[in-house]
Amino acid sequence: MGQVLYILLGWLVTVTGAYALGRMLWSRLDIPCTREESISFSFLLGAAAYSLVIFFLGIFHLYYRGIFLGLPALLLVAAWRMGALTLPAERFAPLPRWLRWSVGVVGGLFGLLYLSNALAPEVSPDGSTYHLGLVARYYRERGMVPVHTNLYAALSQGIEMLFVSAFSIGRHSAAAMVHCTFLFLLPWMMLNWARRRGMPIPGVAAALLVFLAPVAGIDGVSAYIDLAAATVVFAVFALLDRWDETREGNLLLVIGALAGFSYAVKYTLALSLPFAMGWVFWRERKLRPVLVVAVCAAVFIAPWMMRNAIWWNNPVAPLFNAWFPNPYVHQWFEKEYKLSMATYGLRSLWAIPFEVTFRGANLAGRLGPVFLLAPLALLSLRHAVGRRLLLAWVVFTATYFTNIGTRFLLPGLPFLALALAMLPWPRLVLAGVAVHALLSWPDSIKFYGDKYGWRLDKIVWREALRVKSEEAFLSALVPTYPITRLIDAQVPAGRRVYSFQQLAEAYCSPEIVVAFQSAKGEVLAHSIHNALREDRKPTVQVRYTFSARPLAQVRVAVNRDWPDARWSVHEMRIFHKGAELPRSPHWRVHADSAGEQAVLAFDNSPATRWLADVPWRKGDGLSMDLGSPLTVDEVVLEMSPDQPWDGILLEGIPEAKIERRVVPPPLGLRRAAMEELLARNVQYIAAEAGEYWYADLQNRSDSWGIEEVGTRGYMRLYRILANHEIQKIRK
Amino acid sequence: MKAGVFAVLLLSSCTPVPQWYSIPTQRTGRPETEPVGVGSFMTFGDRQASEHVVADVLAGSGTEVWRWTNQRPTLKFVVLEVGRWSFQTAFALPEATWKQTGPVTLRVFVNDQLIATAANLPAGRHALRWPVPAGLLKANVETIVRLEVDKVFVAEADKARLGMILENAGFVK
Repeated sequence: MGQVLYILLGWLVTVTGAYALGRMLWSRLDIPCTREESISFSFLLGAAAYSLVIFFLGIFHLYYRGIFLGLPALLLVAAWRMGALTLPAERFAPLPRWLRWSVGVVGGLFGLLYLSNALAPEVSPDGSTYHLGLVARYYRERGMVPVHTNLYAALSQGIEMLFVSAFSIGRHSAAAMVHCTFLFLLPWMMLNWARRRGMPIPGVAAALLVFLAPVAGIDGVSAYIDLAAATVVFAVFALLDRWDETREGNLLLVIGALAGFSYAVKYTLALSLPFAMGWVFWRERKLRPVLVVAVCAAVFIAPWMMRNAIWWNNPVAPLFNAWFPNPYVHQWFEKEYKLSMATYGLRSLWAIPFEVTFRGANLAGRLGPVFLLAPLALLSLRHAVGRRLLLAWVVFTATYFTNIGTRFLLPGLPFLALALAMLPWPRLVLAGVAVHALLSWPDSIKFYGDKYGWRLDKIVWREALRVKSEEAFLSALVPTYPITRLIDAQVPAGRRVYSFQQLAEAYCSPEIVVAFQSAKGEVLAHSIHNALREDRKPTVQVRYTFSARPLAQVRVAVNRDWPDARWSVHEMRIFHKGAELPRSPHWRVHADSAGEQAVLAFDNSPATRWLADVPWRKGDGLSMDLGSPLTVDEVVLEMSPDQPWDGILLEGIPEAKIERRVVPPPLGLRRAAMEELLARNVQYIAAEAGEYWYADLQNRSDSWGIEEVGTRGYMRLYRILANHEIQKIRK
Repeated sequence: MKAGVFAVLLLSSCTPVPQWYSIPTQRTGRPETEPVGVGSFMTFGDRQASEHVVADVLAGSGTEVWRWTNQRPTLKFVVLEVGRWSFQTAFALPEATWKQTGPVTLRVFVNDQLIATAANLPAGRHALRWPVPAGLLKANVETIVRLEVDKVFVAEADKARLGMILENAGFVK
């Protein structure tokens, strides 16, 4: 039970810090509004500001529990002394009694479901891996640090900043509770907006459509950010709508701040800034109010861009790597990642409507079958307010096809729900909400949805109150949790673990280097592939022979375009009279693409290769600068057989004779791959039973130079032996 | 805002990205980590795989990751220590040959002693593992393993007698 108190304290101090700061800012703006609006907008404005404060605490390495406990208390006292905690007297008219009761029963039931799951141990896929994995890392390091082995660390982390505060006191579940706050806030804000518009019943209907949607529920109770993102963009819309009505200048400050915070929460919601600026310009036809919005937004956007420009050589990392080439995230990876996010393995995008409403398996979650009626929202185009809502829906759903997971529909969902709720048949709408409630309850989903779809299962009070063991719950629901516990117990501080899949790193201290999460992880994955896959081993030698001549530079380049493949070179060597010229420290090497990896073609390791980061582009090359001229009569490229060898020419020596030889794969590839891991400060491997190297690791552990540490579930942990340990064993 | 974005872009464009890199530390290969001769386990595709073959495995170019066998593929292995070993193998019975042979029974002999039988194997890939009786393996002494299938596919064209597609085999702990 003590743990639950810490969780609640972590949540409470975080929301208190945000609210107190928000009250101080909002009260100064003197914006006329109701009590309900004042509370909700204050909290959101405060969340944005408090997140920024935590960002700078992180930059200055001030993540201490005492600070996260003391700061909210100070802010609360300051707000009280300023009189900022006094709320406006004006309130919205109460809802009809029958509606209050209906909402109370349905909302209460789902509220229990949500609160119990938010309080229970954090088991979500992304929450237990990178969202809280990074939060935990930052807290351990006492500040924000560049984590170049994890591209998710380069995303803006506005909500994660709030998680840091909660995590410092109540750990994982406290962070989830902070996100859950937004799950409750969003429908309330929707209702407030609708009441302001004189549409309380459609407001209730729309709020329930969103609140009860199964994907909103499970996302909102997890340490994710989507519900918070949806809340922030809805607030931008609601404030713009209010500004449109009142032309209250101070509203523009809040609109700008929250539009900027949208970017800080999630890159794709940066659209809220042009949306807000466009709206203001359209109505005012003046530049000044637009600039006010832009400048306020910049306060919240610039820190993240500056951080990324300095730490990742890319202000919008991990995206747009072609515009901002950097050694941390490969362009090719970005291309493939975007492609996979845009399809999720679906055979046709026409499957999306059924997937996101009913099935919920491939796209991870469902909105509920009632949303199949979404086209009816077009009827709201008859009204100005309906057109406004649908425009907002279009804007905030515009980026959906870059990632078609169901939860990426959440930012636009409030607008769609409101447009649907405005249908001219209120009884039908309320009946639809009732059906939605029935179909959204976990027991009902089992009858129509895929059983493996992402969803809540039941009210879990025993787990929430820690009556049931946290360890057992996590082990049952987080497949990689057991191995992370073993890692935590066996891997010393400062050591790193390599894995081909994401692990529940929020639950362990050692750093996990995941194969696909960084350029470094990819290079190591290539080393392992090179050791095991026949098409990746250096079994092809392309030899360029010519009459001996002094050369100061040697360059090979591709002579054709080939859009679907990259070229690679394991080693590039130069010879004279059959003897290789030993590589000198004075030599320099260069590649036109993935330049920082050019060294991999000159390291004498058969397990590494330089791999272009772009498709074959005529003229792209790999070069050696020898400093001063050396007599050379042969250049050799050692390559894998998965590429056309005759597409690469030796520049400047057109008469060079080109010959291809097939040679046996070098011995010791497995150990060479392990030495690459050791060279990059990775000392352990976690392998899953389904991975293609799993059996080989077990069967050929001597060749890899590894020893088994232990097995948990379907994963095994190995330690990579140092060379001196291997020599000792051999003796 | 524009000025802010410009400043950020300018800042990032100023980040020095070197064009030329020094020659890195040269790695020294460790060929000794791979058993050059006969080891306790073999995978076709490994350079030393052919060293394990005693009989009834069809010749290959040395780069395949599997090989066809006849009826009694025989392999040799060397374990460096005695202990609780298991024999493990992965092989496939292709649908095309299985249509002629029907269910296949595989018997595994270690030093001519039957240690396992897998009866009525269907078409497809199989990965099987059996414990090896204590005392059957001796350290640093060649162990002969014979895999015997009860039926073979006889090719119409050249009358080749094909047993299975063997991927790997050997002793594991």
